[in-house]
Amino acid sequence: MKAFDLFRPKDLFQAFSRLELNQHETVLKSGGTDLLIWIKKGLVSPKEVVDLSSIDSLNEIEVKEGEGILIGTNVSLNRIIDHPEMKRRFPALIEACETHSDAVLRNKATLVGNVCSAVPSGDTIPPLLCYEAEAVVQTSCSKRHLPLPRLIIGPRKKSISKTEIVTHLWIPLPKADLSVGAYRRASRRRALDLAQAAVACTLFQHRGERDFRLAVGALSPIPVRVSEGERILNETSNIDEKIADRVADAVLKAIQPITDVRGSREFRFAVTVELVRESLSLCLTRAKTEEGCY
Amino acid sequence: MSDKRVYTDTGIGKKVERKFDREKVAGTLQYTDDLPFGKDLLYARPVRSPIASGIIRSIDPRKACAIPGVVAVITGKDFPYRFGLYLKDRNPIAIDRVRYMGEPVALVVATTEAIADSAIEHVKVEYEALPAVLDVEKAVCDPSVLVHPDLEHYKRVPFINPQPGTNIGNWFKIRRGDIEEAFAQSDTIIEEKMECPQIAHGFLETHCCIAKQDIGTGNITVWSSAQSVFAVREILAEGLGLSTNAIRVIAPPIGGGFGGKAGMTIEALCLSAALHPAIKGRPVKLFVPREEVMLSSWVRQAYIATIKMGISKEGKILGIKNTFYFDTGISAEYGANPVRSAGYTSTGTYYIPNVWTDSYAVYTNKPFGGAYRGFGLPELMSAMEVVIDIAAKKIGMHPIEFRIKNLLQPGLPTCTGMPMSEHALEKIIRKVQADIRFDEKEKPLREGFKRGKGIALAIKAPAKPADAASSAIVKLNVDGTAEVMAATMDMGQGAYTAYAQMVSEELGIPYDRIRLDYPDSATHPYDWQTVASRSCWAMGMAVKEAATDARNQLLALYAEYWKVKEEEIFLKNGSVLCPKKNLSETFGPKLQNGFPMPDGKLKGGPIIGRGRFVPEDVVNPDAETGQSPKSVVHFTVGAIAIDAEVSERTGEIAINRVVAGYDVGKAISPINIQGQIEGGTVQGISAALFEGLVFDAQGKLLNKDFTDYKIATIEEVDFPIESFWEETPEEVSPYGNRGVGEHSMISPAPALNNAVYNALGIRFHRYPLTRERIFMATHAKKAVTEDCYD
Amino acid sequence: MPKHALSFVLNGETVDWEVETNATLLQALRENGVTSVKRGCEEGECGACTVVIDELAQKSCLVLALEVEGKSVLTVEGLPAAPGKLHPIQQAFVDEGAVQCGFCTPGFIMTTYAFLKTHPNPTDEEIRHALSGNLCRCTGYLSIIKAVKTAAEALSKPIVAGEGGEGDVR
Repeated sequence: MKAFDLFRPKDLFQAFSRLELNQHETVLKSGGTDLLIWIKKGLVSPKEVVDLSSIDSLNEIEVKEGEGILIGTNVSLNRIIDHPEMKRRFPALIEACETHSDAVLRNKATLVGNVCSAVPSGDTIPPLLCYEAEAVVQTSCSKRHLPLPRLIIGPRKKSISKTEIVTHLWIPLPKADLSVGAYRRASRRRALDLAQAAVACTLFQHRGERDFRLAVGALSPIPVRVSEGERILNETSNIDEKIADRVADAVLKAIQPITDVRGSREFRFAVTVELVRESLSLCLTRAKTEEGCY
Repeated sequence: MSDKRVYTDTGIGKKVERKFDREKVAGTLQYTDDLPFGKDLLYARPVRSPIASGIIRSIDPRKACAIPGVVAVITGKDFPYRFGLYLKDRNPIAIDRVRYMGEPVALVVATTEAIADSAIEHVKVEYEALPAVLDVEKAVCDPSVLVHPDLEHYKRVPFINPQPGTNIGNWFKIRRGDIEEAFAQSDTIIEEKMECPQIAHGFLETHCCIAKQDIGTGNITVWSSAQSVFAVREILAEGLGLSTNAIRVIAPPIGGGFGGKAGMTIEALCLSAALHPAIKGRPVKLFVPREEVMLSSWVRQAYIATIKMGISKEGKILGIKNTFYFDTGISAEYGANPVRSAGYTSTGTYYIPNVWTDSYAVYTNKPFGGAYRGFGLPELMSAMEVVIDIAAKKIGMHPIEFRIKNLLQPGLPTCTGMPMSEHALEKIIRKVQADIRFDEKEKPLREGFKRGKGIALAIKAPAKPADAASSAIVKLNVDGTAEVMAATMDMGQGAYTAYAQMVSEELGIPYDRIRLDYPDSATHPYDWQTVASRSCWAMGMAVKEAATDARNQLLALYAEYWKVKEEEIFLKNGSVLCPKKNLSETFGPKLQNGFPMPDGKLKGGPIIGRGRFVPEDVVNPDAETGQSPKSVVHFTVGAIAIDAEVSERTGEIAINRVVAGYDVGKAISPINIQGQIEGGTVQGISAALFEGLVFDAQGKLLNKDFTDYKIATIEEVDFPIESFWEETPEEVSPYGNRGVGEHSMISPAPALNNAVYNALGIRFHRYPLTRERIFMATHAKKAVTEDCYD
Repeated sequence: MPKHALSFVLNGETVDWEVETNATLLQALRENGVTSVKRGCEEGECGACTVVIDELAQKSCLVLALEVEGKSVLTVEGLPAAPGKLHPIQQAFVDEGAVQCGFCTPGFIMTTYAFLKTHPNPTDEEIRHALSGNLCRCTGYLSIIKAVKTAAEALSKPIVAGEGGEGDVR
């Protein structure tokens, strides 16, 4: 692994000062499970790594009743999975977390890190798009909320500047009596693999109103919401196979899969149809069978 | 064993605690990478070719040499030696010409791994690209691109048959009977094509080697993650023109081999540094990171088989015509032999009177093929056992009845003409058939899945030169403990456990008082190689003989000492007894320091038993016909059945149950046999489901690490493997036992392929059976109805 | 490359090391003689370098050494209660034939160690999920599943005084 300096700030203030000092040669790390591999493979060659994992204040999952959940940068995927509130409110995200890497790596890999890696196959991104999560982006003197589609602008590319830190993820709690969801993906192997194609589908019900959301991963340069698919679902009271096919068609129009060593473009197109059907049908089944929460 | 008058609770067939397991679970066992060499140690890293074929125009190491800590940059011209086990076609560092993407073109030696790692980027190499040949069928037909234009000048052993002026590194033939006449008399002819890709061994320990030259003597010591210290020593000595006793090879424990550490792998490359004048006798370490393993050492050869079979209306196979192309990459030095192995087993487990086989090792500009668990047989049987199912269906016969009707029963000639020895294959097949409930159509266990069952038979002989020899020493110590010197590499298969059980069986010494150590060519007596499922059998012969020799010495001394007949002495759990005279004592200092005999003189001294073995009567097959009265020492046979189900919707294969049985002759260590069957079965299933090297059009390996070269995890193994064995004794064998280490890996893939066909009605002609491949076959716009060649 | 001071608890004892900033915990442990952690892939895919850091299993190739400052790290060397007295998990791996070449074994044992703390009575499925990040090419895994169950049983038995029992050093 190429040499780099490591700075382990005790708090955000120290981190910001460092970034402002060395901004062009610095990369941020939380869990580091992607970053260390990228450095090893020469995909990034930072002069300095600023390791946010030393900042204790970023370890929290904070539930703000009626508003949303605030997740610190250092919260590991396993802590998300084990958090009862997260499970109750954001089931598709939990399902995505559970397919990410393996049980040991999930002790290290963080949710915010997965978002900030911004890889096309990032498992947690499609459900977070459905839940309209926002990155909490801070500098030493500012703080803003940035919706994920505005944060992630390309493969491994984010829109924020070198002096900004995604300190938290904010997931708003929509008004709903029921939240169900599903994350379905194709991969070569059952465990510890990257998605070849992935679909997240969520459904909120509130006083009889239904709100479907749909997003895909590993099928385009960045994971995307498929609004046309959502429109079809939300305009229909009786979702049958025909509707599901129309939704799948809408998804196929919205994606640009590639051929690589993990899968062919043709396969990704074809399997997406199955994943859309499956995630949709799971959502509908769960809406019927699961006790309403919220 | 009353005729031996030896009693032990820890002998053959007993459950014992495996040797070295305690060190392994405690983390204290030192593998090559764990050995300390102090501050003197230097580190080597290769500069690798970025093109698959081309001329090296120039190499400029000056910038690299200027980096502080860089000690030397070595190029092929500094080390102009060719090496190879069967055919010397491999330069450790390319000279003038590169032949595959990833081939070492220079070696940087530095004081730290990090410096070496960064310095390789500063060795400037200019290439002139040449056309590369990546497709094996093209390489065979088209001599316009030759991987080895100098093939005719390469040294080789007599039983390897390269074809200079072509890309054929070895051509093995079987010609028996009249194949055209057989086809003319057949009522049904089928011809099928099957393909397997190159695959990786996937051992967890990557290669590691440390080499050091003594500046006083010039002698060399090599520590290496090698399966066979003596093979490494001989190949190095021959390649360098040194005497064998100038080279000492030490093999610390290795973290899995599966053939990938057989013969010589990275040792010569490491030596190119240790022998360089600038190194001045310092030890040099070459550690291969995971992403370079497949570029540094063997992979399993890719394989394309065309099998034509003629069958009578009674269901008898009258003739078979085989063409096998093994893609051996840029070197056939080892890969030439799996080609033979598949060739001289090319009728599988069947008796077929008329045989025509051409088995070729074909050079391409890809990483090189070599030994891999099964040694040509998993490739062969991945095709053969599928073709047998296709044939049975075509003639409307039950696949198992068809197999049994044509079975290579004891006494019938194999395809090389040697009579098949006794075995229990038919019994095994019937047991597998019953236990998997082969003839019962069962409902799928998962919604939306289709269930199927498949069977495949397995066969393999130890593939080795006729004169592969072994020797062993058993030393008795002052306190009645014993040390066994046997240069087998115990790479997890449990050889040392088996040997200790053998010595316990012969000397009555308790198992835990018997010690073995890892191979060192300076202290251990000779053994050819730890390969070919031969060790428990061939080295077993030597170990048993050595233990028997020690026992005979001991009995003779006690007979004289006690003034009794040898037949009146018994050995029991570490003691010696003469019930007739009511004498007994535990083994002790006399075994080392001599016996005070009745005549008042000391007699004896340290008891050292000696054993050796070489098979007496193996004759290499005839070059033109492949016929031989005894082409191999023996065959181990078996069968595997898989109950699986497949989702047409997702392409997923789920396995419900596996039943597998082999005729092991005699189970020396049941715990190890079960381990070999379970491990090989999962390795075979993993290969069938996931594995294959993928190259781009320029010959770049795209899945060189575990991120993209997927092997089975524990998540895949959510099914039981019901393993069993039969014990039809082998005549020439220490205890009737024969090899079983590789056999479990041979036929999981075709059994799974047959199960998938049974479930879906789609025949896959290419491995692996990835989820994508199955999904595309069932979902494609023109969904596959019968045969899938994609 | 300047080295930095690192102080942490290794197998129950405080150690003070000098490490480079880009050193992974795997590298630092190996350089300091803790060679049970293996470099099998150095990218988190094989699990042969797994250690337990403050109760959690972690792949030490993806942890920077300096990250464990002040933390407690347990490797397989720290498990035996005394020389020759294996931890019940280690003993179970030996007894069930869950060891072949042994290269992956320390990683499997450490993952199992952390897992059984939170799942004292695991199902086969839970075991497979927990161990899916550790590769083994030799055993075919079935004996490993058996070993984890045997270890769980052994650990659930009350410790007899003077028998040693679990060699937890923390």
